[in-house]
Amino acid sequence: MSQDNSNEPLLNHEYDGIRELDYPLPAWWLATFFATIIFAFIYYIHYEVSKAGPSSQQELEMNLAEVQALQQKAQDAAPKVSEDTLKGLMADNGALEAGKAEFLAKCAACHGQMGEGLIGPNLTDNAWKNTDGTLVGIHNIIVQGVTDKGMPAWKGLIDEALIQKVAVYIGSLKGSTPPNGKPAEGQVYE
Amino acid sequence: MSEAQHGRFLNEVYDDRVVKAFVLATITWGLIAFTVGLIAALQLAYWPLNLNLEWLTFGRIRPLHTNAAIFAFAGNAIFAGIYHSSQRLLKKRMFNDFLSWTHFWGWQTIIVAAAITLPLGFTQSKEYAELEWPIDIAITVIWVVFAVNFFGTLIQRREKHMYVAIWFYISTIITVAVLHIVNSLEIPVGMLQSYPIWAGIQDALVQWWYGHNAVAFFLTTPFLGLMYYYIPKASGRPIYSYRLSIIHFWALVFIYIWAGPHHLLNTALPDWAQTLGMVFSLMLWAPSWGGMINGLLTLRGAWHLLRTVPIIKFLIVAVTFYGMSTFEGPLLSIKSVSSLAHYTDWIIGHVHGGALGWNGFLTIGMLYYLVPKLWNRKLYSVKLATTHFWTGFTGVLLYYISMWAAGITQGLMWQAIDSKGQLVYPDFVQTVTEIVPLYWVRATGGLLFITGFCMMIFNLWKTIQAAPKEEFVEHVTEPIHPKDGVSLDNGHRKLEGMVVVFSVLAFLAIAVGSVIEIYPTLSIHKYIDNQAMVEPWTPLEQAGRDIYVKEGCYNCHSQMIRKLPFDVLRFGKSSTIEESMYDRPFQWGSKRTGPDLARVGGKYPHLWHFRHMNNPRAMVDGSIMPSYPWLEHKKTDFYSLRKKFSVMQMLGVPYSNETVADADKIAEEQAKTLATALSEEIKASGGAIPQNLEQMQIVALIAYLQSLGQKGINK
Repeated sequence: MSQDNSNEPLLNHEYDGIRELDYPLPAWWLATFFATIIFAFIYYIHYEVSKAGPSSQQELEMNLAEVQALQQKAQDAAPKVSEDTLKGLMADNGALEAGKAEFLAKCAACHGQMGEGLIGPNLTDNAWKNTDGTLVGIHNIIVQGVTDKGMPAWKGLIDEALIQKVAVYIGSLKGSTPPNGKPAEGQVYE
Repeated sequence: MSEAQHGRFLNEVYDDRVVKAFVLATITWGLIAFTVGLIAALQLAYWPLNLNLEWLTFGRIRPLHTNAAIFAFAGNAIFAGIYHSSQRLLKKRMFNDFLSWTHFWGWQTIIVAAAITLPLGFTQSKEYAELEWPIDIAITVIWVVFAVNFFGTLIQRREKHMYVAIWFYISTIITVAVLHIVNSLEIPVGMLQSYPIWAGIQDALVQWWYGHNAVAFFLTTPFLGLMYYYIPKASGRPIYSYRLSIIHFWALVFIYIWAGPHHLLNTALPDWAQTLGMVFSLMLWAPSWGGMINGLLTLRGAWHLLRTVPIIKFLIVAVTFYGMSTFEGPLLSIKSVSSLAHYTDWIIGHVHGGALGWNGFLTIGMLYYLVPKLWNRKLYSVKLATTHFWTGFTGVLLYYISMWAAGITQGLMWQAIDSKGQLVYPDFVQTVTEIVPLYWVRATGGLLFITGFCMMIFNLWKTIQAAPKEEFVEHVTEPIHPKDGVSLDNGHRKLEGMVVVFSVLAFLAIAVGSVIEIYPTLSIHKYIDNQAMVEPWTPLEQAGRDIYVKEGCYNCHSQMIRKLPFDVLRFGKSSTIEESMYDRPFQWGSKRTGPDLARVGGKYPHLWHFRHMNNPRAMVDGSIMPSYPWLEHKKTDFYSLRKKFSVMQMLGVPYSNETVADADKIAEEQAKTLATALSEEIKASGGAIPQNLEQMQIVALIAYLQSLGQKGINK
């Protein structure tokens, strides 16, 4: 079976014609094996025995603290929203277009393509369930959501500047009376 | 009779009929398993291929594909190779022909049962252990038949020592039995439904101890055994290093069994178990490569065969893929790498590098070797086999590379946090539509692999057709008592002559890691914070949960928010042990084709879910999820809830006797309330209300979805 080569460390084993050589274990292979074993001990002791390394819970808390610091910084830097700044934004066609695009992407599934209401309430009438219908009120609802009614809080999911544009776009829909409008819900604000 | 005496010699006639049967079964089931895989791949690229039919949705098809690939294709390949090589390595016909054929037909029956029950939604939802309890029992019986047949042959062998291939077969048979039995401990609640005795982290740990070692002892050790037989046979070269065989065999079987928890890194599983899983996975690298070295270097001095002989091409490339996969595996087991790769298609790519490259090509190489030998006729076309090789190889590469790209892309998108501390891609669906083009590339790779396989089927069919009419029977003439004589063996060589001692040691090698990892979680209360206890599911929620399991939602949705900042930002507070403490089976999942659902409860109104299940695209533009319209007109099984709750109570879930006795009525009450609220929402939105809505599965499912994450203090 095997090709004749007297230099090969051929053993006298034979199984169905299969012969076995007995070359030594490759040094790099052994080194790799030992290295992983040594690493395993060091790693396990570091994290699970001496507890010198953080637990996964501690690590999560450290990472979340970093993220929260970033969020806090961004919030402090963001301009305060007021009815006036938002009204100013309403005059900006570019802002309305951007708000509309985001509305269609995120809000239309529940509030309808034209804000006529579907799962969520009609946004084109003058009745409001969870806000007073001012631009700041609409903005705040988008930010905080009405989580027990299924309206998500979009803070963190939509950028603050874009939330403002969505709020003014929604504000601009008032009185547009699209077809198939959902009946008014909540309280009427003039 | 298999034995005819010739003076002091025995004429041993091998049973190759059963080998032929397993060969044909391997080819048949292989084609089916790959085709179903291609369908599943296309469904991800193009969702309408779910066809709005419940038994053809991805959630039902994917388990069919994995089970067919592992147990039908690889399983029959293993049996073909083991029955063929063992008889020759032991110079003994299989112990008992009746057992051989019981094994063959029993296994095929199990496969057919799986192919029927999985599309119908009868599943335990534990990956590669989905089959329900009657089939689990059948698997156990047939495995015992196989074991008796194999060990019977081993004990009657006419070769004093056991060759390294046999060591791997022994380890396979013992360990698969242990894994299957422990992971399948379940209490039936119906003809084709059961709940595992394990719950929450126990179930997760036991499942992935099983799942990972299905890879180890069903897709690795038996195939290493086949490699040790077919590479030297096909190349005519001796095995490179006997002592490497010894070291890597024992290291592999001892270390592999510990590696399961690397499937649960960064989850709620206790840290010590995660760390053990990670470090043992790293230590597994060298023992795995020991097998690769022995396979590849056996070709030393005969590398020209790689150019000229297609069998060698397949076998050597298979071993190379084994080397790649077993390097990638430890890499993926590093916690930080896992945080990127887990739940993504990188894992799917990794698995298929192993499944197509290693198991697939090794099996194909073996088939090209076996069919001409068994049917005593040279291969119809060597050229076609070479074309098969290049076609299949291109297919595997396309598959592997596209899934790397898809997995890493999606993983990075999930992780991305901007300077304002916000997710860069907060819409999950955005990270899905981004990789859909790569799903087409993957499907193309799969198609090429299947095309190559069809070339092989044609080639082998033509070979068999041209075979001589009279059956070819191989036999060997051996001294009656070759085992006699003075023994000068010592050390491992001595052990190779001792079947029982060897088998016991092989068992102990896998028992150590199993006991150390699983035992501590048996007393789950040790890990439960009494301040963070949760309420168990209500009867309606449990009914909805059973529907969730039946539809295979776990194939695409995890329920485990990892202890990673980007997971927490996207899905909410990280999941706790307590939140799944009553979950039978656990639903942590292993892949996020869709978003995590651990805290989806209360996030959307009932109507959102109602419309979403009917047509996901109505609510999420670009979604690739199948539609589930039948949930609106299929009735919830309230009747079986009493039985189910009595089993849950028996398993320690704190349900009162009243809840158990009235489980169905309580569920119907809750369904009525939910259906009324939902009807009002449907009416207000101008939609049509399905008749008898409160009896329909959609209501139970919504009740379950709305309760996810709403049970504990983390609400």
